[in-house]
Amino acid sequence: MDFLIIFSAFLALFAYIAIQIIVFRNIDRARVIRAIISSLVLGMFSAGILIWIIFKIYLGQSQFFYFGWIVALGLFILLAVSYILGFFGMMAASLRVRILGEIYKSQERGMDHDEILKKYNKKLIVDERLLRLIGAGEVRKDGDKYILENRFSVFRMHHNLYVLFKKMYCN
Amino acid sequence: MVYILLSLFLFITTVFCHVILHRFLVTRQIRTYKTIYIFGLGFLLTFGILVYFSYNLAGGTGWDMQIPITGSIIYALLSFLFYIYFGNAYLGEDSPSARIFFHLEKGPKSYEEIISYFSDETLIIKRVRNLKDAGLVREEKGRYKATTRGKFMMSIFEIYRKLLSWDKGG
Repeated sequence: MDFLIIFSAFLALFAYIAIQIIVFRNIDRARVIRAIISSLVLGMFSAGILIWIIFKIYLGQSQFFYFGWIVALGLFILLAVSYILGFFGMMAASLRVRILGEIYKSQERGMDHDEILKKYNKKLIVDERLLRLIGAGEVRKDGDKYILENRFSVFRMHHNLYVLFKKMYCN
Repeated sequence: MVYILLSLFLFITTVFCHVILHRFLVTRQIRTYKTIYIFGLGFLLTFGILVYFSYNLAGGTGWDMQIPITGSIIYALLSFLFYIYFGNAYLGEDSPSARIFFHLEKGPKSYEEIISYFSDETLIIKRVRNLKDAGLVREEKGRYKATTRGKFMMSIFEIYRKLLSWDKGG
């Protein structure tokens, strides 16, 4: 049972990553936050069906079927969230990875602080973030002011979790 | 389900111990990232307990089906997600989006106001130093170059980036 749950959850994860790669090749980067959430919800439904089929083939009417299916789906969700926050998030949003990328491209010539700042600086970072927040519907622009939309969102949840961690660890 | 509940219980217990330990050390003026290793111990304990249960529980129903490895993987994944949040809180580095979010919660802001909350020093230069401390870049006469480790890491991200057709991240 252990093997079947792990196998089906990882298979669903690989399918999810493959679909995510295809979808993300064609999206507008300003809508990346919305695309991540939509792909995760869609991935959960697809994984649920895929795991159901695998369990039907291997377990039939076994008493383990429903419990196993719930656990495998839960494991898939954890794997997918870990992949998004740990790997995709690093590639898409990490400042360090972007800076390392610029230094890496300079090869043996290297870069000093001024050259790094010419390629990547606070203006580029803020512009990109505002674009993403507007694209995700978290923020809107009214005249020359940026206004936070007052609604529940995954980003707000992520932000609140971060604030909670800061409080828990006295930072 | 017994295994999953046990795994969740042990994870929450480890989080609780970690918070207590970290706060205790902070009161003693000790700030260390190494407290995170407690999750390694927690993982070994979880794995041991779940394997022990698998030899001592009948496992005949859906409720007590024997899934010690799944339970351990769930513990490891939860610890990994916890590590991401703890790492950011420990370093005191709000993501730029989170900082924009934080300021906009106080009221509407203009572009000039938003950009004034950031500096190149904290966003870029500090992170270049972090990369150097982590051994991903080296400094030679004021110029930064990627180390072998840094090159290896970037080559993986480059392949992934090409797969996604993304020119740049960040």
